[in-house]
Order: sequence, then C-alpha cells, then structure tokens
Amino acid sequence: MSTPWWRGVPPAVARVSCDGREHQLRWAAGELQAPGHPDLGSERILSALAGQRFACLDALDAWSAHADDLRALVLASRGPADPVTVRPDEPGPTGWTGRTGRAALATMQRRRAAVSAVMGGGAGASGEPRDDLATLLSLGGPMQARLTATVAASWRERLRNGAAPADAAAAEAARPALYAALYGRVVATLRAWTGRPDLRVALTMIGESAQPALVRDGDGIAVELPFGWVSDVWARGLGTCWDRFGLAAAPAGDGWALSAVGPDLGPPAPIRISAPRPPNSHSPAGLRPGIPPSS
Amino acid sequence: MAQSDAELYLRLTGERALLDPAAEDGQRDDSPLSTAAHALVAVGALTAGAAQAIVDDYGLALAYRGGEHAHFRHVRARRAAHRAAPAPAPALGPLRAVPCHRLIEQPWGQLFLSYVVLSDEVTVLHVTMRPASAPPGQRGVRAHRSRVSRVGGQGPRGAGSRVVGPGLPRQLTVSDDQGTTSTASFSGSGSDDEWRGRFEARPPLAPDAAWIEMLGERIGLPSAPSAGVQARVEPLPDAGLAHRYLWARLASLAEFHSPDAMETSIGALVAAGALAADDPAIGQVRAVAGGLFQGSGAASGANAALPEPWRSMLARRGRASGPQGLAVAGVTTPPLDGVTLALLAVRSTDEWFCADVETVPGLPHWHWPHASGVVDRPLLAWWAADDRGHHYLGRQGEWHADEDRSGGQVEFWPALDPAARMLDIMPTTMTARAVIRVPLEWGEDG
Repeated sequence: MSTPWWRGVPPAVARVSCDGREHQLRWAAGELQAPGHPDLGSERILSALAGQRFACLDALDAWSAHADDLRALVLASRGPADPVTVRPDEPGPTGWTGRTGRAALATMQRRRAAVSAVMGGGAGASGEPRDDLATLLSLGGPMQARLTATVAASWRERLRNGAAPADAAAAEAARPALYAALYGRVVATLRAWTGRPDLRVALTMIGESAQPALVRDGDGIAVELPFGWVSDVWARGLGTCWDRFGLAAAPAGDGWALSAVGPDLGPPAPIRISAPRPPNSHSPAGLRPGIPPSS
Repeated sequence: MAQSDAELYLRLTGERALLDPAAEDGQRDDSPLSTAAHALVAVGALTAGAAQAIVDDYGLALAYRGGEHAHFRHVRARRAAHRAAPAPAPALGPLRAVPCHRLIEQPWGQLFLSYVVLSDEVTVLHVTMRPASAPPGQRGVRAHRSRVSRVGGQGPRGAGSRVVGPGLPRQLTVSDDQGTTSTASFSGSGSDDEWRGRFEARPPLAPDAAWIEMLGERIGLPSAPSAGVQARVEPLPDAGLAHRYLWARLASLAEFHSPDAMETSIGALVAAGALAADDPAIGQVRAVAGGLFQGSGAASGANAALPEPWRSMLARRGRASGPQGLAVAGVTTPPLDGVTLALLAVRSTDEWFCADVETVPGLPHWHWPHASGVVDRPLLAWWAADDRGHHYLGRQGEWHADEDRSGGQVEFWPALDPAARMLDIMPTTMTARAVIRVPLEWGEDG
C-alpha cells in the first residue's frame, strides 16, 4: 500500500466566525473538518431548508471544490520567504476574538452576513463575484500550505503510471500549470538554500518514477524533479534539511529517508528523518531532521 | 509551437514575476507578464481567454503579495464590465469642423475660439481662455505642464455657477441662426495664465448653422468644407504576423519608454515559434529600439542603418522648428479594424504637433489602469508623414473616453518640418491603416 500523501504533514487549525460563534476548522490526515458541527449531515439539511449559511460548512464545501484547483498553486505561497496574506474584501472568517455584550453580538451578526456573502459567491465591494478560493487562502498560512499539498497530491496521482485515461489526459493538458507550480517552488527553495536570490535554475520535470538529480550548470543549477516533489518533499517542509536540498523522500520506519544534495552539489546522499514532532499549526510540516548525515 | 508551450512560457513568466516581485507589476501593459501574453495572443499562439486567465491569476497572486488585492479586484471587475457591455455600432456620425480663429474680449479676460465641430450629437467649441489678470507677456504662451490643472465637464450646473481659472467661465450660452439655444460646459486644462479645452453644448446647435452667437458676438461659419482633406483605409503590405506585431508593438511601446518590454515580446515570439531566433527583423527592431529608447541597443548615431519610417523620425528627434498654428480638417475615416476615427484639426508648435481626434468605439488611454493587462487589446500606432518625406510618431495625450466614444489629442514628435505643406495622419493597426491627408494651411491657434 502506498504512503498516504498527507503522512508527515501535521494537523492545522483555523478559526472562523460561524453562526455567531467562533468555530475551528481543523485539517488532519488529508481532510478538513468542522468539529463545531458534529452532525454535519443534519446541519446541511437544515441549512438547505432554512436557507441559512454556515461559514464552517461553506468552507468544507469550498475546500472540496478546490481540492484539485490549479489556481491554488498559482496564488499560494512558494515557501517561507513568500508569505501570502489574503484578506477578503469584507471581514472574513478569521480574526475576531474576545468581545462580549451587545456590541459583540452586532459585530458577529455583521461578520456572519459577510462570511455568508463570501462563501455564497455574492458580489463584493469590488463588484466582482466572490472567489471562495481567496477565502480559503485567507484561513492563514498553515491552511494555505495544506491546500497546496492537497491540490499537488491530487495531480500527482493523475501523473502516475496507471492513472485512468481521463486523469492522464487531464494531467497532460495541465502540464504547463504543473511545471510552473513545480518551477516556482523549486527555484524559491534553491535560492533560499544557496543564498543567491538571482540563482539561475534549469528545471526538467521528469516522470513520477524517474530518478531525480541536481548538478551544477555553469553558475547555476540544473535539476530534474517530478511534479510529485511538491507533495512529497516541499509540502512536508523537506525542501532543505541540514543544509541539504531534498530531492526525494520515502517513508522509513516512523520517519523518512530523504535523498539530498549537499552544498558542494555532489551526488545525493541519504538523510534519516525522525518521527513527526507534536502537531504544530504554524508549520506546514511536522518532520524534523533526526539523524545528522554521516558523510 | 503547441499552445501548451505558449502557456508554459507565459506561466513561467508569471512565476519569475513572483520570484522577483520588485521587477513586476503584473497589470501594467509593459510588465513582462502582460507583454508576453499580448504577443502570444497576437500571433495566435494562445487564445485570449486562456492568456487572460493566466495573466489575471498571476496578477492576483502579485496583488496578494503587494497588499493590493482590493485594487486588483476593482480593476479586474471594471475590465470585465467593459467586456460584458454590448459592442457599440462602429460608426461615427457626420461632423462639420469649421475654423473660426476668433478672439473675444470679455471683462474677465479673453476667449479665443479656434474652431467649432458641429454634429447631430454635440456641438464642440475648441477654445483658449486667458484671465484678465494674466500679464500681457504671458499671453500666447502655452501653460507650463507643472502648473497645469484640469477640470472635466460634469453636466449643466447653471451658467456662471463655477469657474475654471481665475474668473474664467465654466459654462456658456450659445445659439445659432436656426433658433437653437444651448448651454455649453467646459472641460480642459490650464494654469493661472491660460486654459485650453472645449465647451460642449448638448443639445447641439444645428449642424448646418450659418452662424453662432456666444458672449454677445456673432461668428459666421463658412459652409465650404476644408479643401484637400481626404481619408481612406488601406491594407498594410503583406508581412509575417510576427513581423507586423513586432513593428506595431515597437511603435506602441514608445508610450512606455520600455526597451525591456520589446525584449520580452521578442522572447515570447521566439519561444512560441512564431519568429526564428536568428530572424533579421529582430536585429532591426533592436536597433530601432536602441534609437527610440536611448541608452539601449544601437547607438543613436547609427540612424542611417535603420529602416523607415524610423530612420527619418529618429534623425530629426529634438528639433524645435515647427510652424505655429492650427489646420482644421473635420474628416471621418471608414472603419479601421472596427474603429472609426475623425480627425478634427492639427495643431503645431515649435517643439511638437498634435491631432485632435474622436473615435467610435471609445479607446482607453494607454495609461489608465483599467485598460492595462488586457491581453487582446488592439494595437493602434499613430504614425504621420509629411510631403517632405519625414515621419512622425504619436501617442495619446489629453484624452476622454467611455465605452462608446473617445477623443482628445494625439501628440506627435518630432516637430513638424516647417516646409511641409501636406500631412498624412496614419492610425495603424497590425493589418491596415487609415490615411488622413490634411493640407497644412495654418490659421491662428489662440
């Protein structure tokens, strides 16, 4: 059985204003959950019958709708040096805490209406239809990283040998977007690793089962990686580890075996990564290097 | 080149913009992203819909990073609304332009009526006004741009209710020999010393009026049309699509003073396979760009090797010996790639000359934010040539526009050859050009 794509990506939490209360959205094991709504099925029926919108349910729907949306890979962060702060036009599903009394109730009601408008696709102040992908991105960096990982993993599956013909065709049509998504994240990682913001990078996107490689290319770097590098390595926070650039990651016991290249750009060497640290909602990945490289 | 390759090129341009955000404003027309998209769409390497979606996505990604999300969405919404509006009929009604050259003295100062344009829709009085307080030595001197203010026509507010300069009227009452009386509102720009602009009267005076009255004076309108004024539309000589695009783009980029954008266009066309990397046209374009955007490419002294019309234009750059005056034309072209243009008049000064034009449908000003980032925006280069073999290049100056109609001044450089007796104004698209021939019979211009 193949390793779940979400293994090694710790849970994350975002707060939303939902029906006048502060709720949590929790991402874990590849799924977004709304623990404030224990009986989702019934609440969905009530919501539909009463025409009432719940920000949490709308967020779940939006997440599902955008789980393979390549636009997420365009809009979201390329790495730690590229923070993306998205603020909805109106007060959004995050950010309010600590008020009481009548004023707080009024605020919550206003925000509830605003969140409903955001999630419901109504027109905003700009006159443009709402983009609920923007609302998902506004849930914060950790959720952004997990949305990126979700989308990348979805497309990685379509690129694998043996994918259904329709999936393979879709992946082929999406190849420019996939290559660009890989390129941006690889270049950002390499530039941060080398400390050279103008580093020239020649990227070849190889098949998912092909052997990745990284070599010096004049004053730049030539690197061959599969698109799956985004979900397997980058999304787990293993793009760089112990001053090495991570080419590939494979499960090893309760941790990971990372194939990585050192600063001398020599042949890749293995690094053993220990088990995930306790959940940390502020980090896109819970892995940490556990065993220093022996070389 | 497959469309997917063009898409990849454009997406990588977007990724590079994100990786180096200081070098990119994804919604500017000369940004690498917009420039590459425009080139790829123009040569058919990418559909406008696909390219626009990519440009918009990366534009939004850049806006998130720059904290300009709300502004981006506003610009994009305006653009979408503009696209969704039904296309107006490409027609410009008949108009009659009549030179007046009439100075009217008033207690508040002077009004010089250069010419009048009459049509079924609006009557426009092109004027220069100077307040009585302006020192005599200042009169006749064009306002310094650093001191220029503007006012736009906002509809009737009651005669004399507002002024534009020190004591200058914002509205006038005008009438004609057929019993029509209307109120004309001013829009234009100026300084403490002088305001130039137009009074627009709606409802209009009679298009065939024999005279008009304003400020207590009667002004005759001779019925004879301007002699020798002609307009036609002709196809451009056959040339490859990529070549036509490069030259048209170069002419339009003169607005931006952006040699990098030309290199981006070349790169996109080569990547798309629309242009061979060793195509001789690339070298010619670079040489012209070097002359056009001084400090890049070929030395400006190498003009002799440049192709026309660029050679003669660049050779005369910086000259300031143009004739001074106004030549009224009042001619409408046949449709040019869906746009009908009217040339109202040509004004010339020592350093430059300009054409007063109207267009249907409206053309946005190149500098307006909602007009930028449009991947299939038609290229329209404003060329001119005189009967002495000299060429000139223009760009939009003061401009007013909505979706249906636009107009304003197209400013040309270098200065007109004072010996020229005939001028062809040539708005040029990638496939055709209008040729509007104007005899240069100068009258006083304020």
